[in-house]
Amino acid sequence: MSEEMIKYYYLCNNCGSCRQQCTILRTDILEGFSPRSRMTIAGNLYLNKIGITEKTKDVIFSCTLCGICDNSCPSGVDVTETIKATRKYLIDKGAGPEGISKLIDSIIAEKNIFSLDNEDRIEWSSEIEELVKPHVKKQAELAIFVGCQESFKGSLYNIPDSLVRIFNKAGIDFTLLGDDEWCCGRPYFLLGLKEGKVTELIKYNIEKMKALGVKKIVTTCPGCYESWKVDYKKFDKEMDIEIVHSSEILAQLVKEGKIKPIKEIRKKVVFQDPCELGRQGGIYDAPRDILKSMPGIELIELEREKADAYCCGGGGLCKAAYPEKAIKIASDVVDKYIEAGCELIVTSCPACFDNLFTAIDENKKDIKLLDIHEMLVELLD
Amino acid sequence: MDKDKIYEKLVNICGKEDVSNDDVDLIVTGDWIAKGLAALYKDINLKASFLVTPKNKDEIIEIVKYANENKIPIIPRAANTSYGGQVIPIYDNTIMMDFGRHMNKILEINEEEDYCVVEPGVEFWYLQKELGKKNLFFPAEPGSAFACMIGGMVGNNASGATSFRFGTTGDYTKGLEVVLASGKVIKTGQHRSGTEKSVTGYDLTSLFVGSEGTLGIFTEITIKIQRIPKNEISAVASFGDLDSCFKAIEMIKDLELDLALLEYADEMTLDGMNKNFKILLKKGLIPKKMKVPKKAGTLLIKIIGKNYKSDLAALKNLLEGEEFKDNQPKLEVLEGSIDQEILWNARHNAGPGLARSMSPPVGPRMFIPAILDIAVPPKKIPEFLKQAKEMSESFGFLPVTFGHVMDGNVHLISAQNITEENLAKVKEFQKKILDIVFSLGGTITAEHGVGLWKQQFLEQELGKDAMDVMRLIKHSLDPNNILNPGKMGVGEIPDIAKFENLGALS
Repeated sequence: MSEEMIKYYYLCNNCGSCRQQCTILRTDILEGFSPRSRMTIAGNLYLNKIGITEKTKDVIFSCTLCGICDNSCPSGVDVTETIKATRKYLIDKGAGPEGISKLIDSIIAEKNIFSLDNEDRIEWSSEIEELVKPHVKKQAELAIFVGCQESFKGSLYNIPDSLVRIFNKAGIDFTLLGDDEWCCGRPYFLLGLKEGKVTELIKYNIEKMKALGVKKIVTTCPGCYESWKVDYKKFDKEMDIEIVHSSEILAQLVKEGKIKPIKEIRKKVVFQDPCELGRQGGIYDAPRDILKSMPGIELIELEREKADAYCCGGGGLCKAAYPEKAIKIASDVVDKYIEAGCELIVTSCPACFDNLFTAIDENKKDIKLLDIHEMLVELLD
Repeated sequence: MDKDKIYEKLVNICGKEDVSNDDVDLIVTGDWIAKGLAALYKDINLKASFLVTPKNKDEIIEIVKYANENKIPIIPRAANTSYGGQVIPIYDNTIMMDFGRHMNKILEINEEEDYCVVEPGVEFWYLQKELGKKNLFFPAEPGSAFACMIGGMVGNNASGATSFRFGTTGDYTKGLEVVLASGKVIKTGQHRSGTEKSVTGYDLTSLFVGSEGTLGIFTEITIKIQRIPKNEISAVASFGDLDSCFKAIEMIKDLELDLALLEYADEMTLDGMNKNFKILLKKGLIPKKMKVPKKAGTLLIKIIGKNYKSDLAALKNLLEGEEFKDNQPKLEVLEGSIDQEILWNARHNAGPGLARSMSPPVGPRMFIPAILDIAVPPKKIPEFLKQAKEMSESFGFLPVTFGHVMDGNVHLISAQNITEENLAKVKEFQKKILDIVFSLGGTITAEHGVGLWKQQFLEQELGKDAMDVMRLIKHSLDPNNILNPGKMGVGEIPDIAKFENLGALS
């Protein structure tokens, strides 16, 4: 039981400002799934006024932690922090959904979220072995932290692959941990588990990076980015490593003229702001600057964009626990883009890409989807 | 009555997906006071027994008939954004009937005849967005516009800052389809009709408007709609003292400007607005720094219509002229639509946002409910503020005041920690404030409604005979008292409404 479960419960005056844009509530307008209701459930669990039921789990673990409610709250309630603390409480009581328990067990056993052999972490680079192998575990100031999704999911291999190709073109030196890389611990942070096992991951990853003389870490995954930038820094205040998202570096390279997209792509494009990069990381302009440098593109901003942007439904472990719900959310978002006349969705997050891809594929939606790194590398001369 | 039996029957009518007896769906989520009391007192556990999310009128009729036969309470609920405790369940076996999930469709927008027909669970912001596409709008905008639903707006006769200019929800409710406690369905007024004027029979629409779920359940609502005014410009006028501020209000009225908003805000409200700006800027939600001057009396003004430029010039002339030469107010004009939106959003958020200005959250809290929403004759606002301030100081409460000065509606908001000691003080304090209100010929609630928390004071304002008429109406329409029982002062007033017999502490 943590004080964080009750702290904001008392501050929330239940006005309902959080209802209008809530990712989950918009898929099914049931008060129990509103952010203020999640606050109420957290408080009432803490006060022992209600018991734990299947539905309690649904409400607490289905949240995508997109953070729109935090932005819309006039009282400054931190809904997402409260939900994380409540998740921890439920897990401590053995009431976590099955998908979540599997994820955690996998990280403990294999140091990645897929229960795969961690030695295969470099599989993604099979097509550019010559560009990657010399960099693995070498001493360098800049390191790429690849992350579990892109290391192990074949459909996402293109993301780190593209980044390396661009670095190669721009003459940027870098290092990688290879099979020494462990999961960043994102699922733990999303479950409010800040102590115990996760600290091993944090310590290990930091030590490995330090041993290679790393001064700056670049991630393509906004989840890893948030882990390093916020949670690792909270844990190790002395950590003297700068954390950047790949879109920031790429935007800079474009600006300096070190890379130049020259091939034309005539499409109406919408950028899917990843929640952990935008709303939480505050990075909105870098990916847009990259897109604007691409010849032929018409970048469309929807009524809800940047800090108000739609969540794709793939974050906050919603997809791990409730995959159908996550895909339904993505499908609704895709419909909104199609309705606005968009022809291509671009994102800079493996979770967004993966979830949107499934929604488009399963529902045969007439729209294209690209990762920003992959798109950029294709357009270079 | 046996809960399993009721549950089974409800499932029979609506299907399992739309009936719940799970705590997650039943605990009170929309009321700060109720949840605070539940935290402080062990025996208070305010929950409905069942949640139903009906899909259509037929399901509602069947539920109501069953409830009426078996004397089971029903609370019709829309977005749950009322500040009076309207949808707090009091009695065992209460069925919470929620319209947001299914009955949320706009059934018709009739541009030719200027009306729309909606189900009760349509959200106000959504309706406004859809109407906006046709350059139309529903002008009765309450403070909860970001979340409230039309069913709740009609049930509470919702209104807000613009109501002195545009009217209340009731003024736009042309007609209703209502399921009565007996299960019979009636249509009132000019439901689904463009007819503008009618005095046929008793005005039943007005009877149901503002009845807070105690007289019937709305299944369709016909709302009168209008063209969106073409121009708008906003201004902030900051006065060094309260007297000049209220003197200006009276003189502004004489100018006959086309005002959509004229709001008074005190220093704490302005402080809250500035804090709101800061946070929004930090989160990247507004494009630039904004600040309103923190002065003793401030007017927030919006002018609309085709003469908005000359109206603004007249306002400037007045405030920069002879009348205020010794104490000249500062006038800041906001022309851009984004700037204006940010200003008015901050003003709307000033109420709920006051919780933020309290010390770090350490325990259950509340707004003092019976003084949240009073109104006095507009010219008596300064006198009310003076007396209310003295009274507040004597109790050690520091209320924030802002209000809609054109119709005399003042929000006196004091956020307090809920403790046994404080509750006793709050009881006494709100009584004293209401004595001031009544002595000035005012009313206990201008727009929020009676609900649970204000009903004990109703008789003081309306008199026993008028209350008896209300009871007669209630009894003839709902003889078994199944529709939102324990509210509106027409039945036994529950102890919790009076902060009495609250039981043992947690």
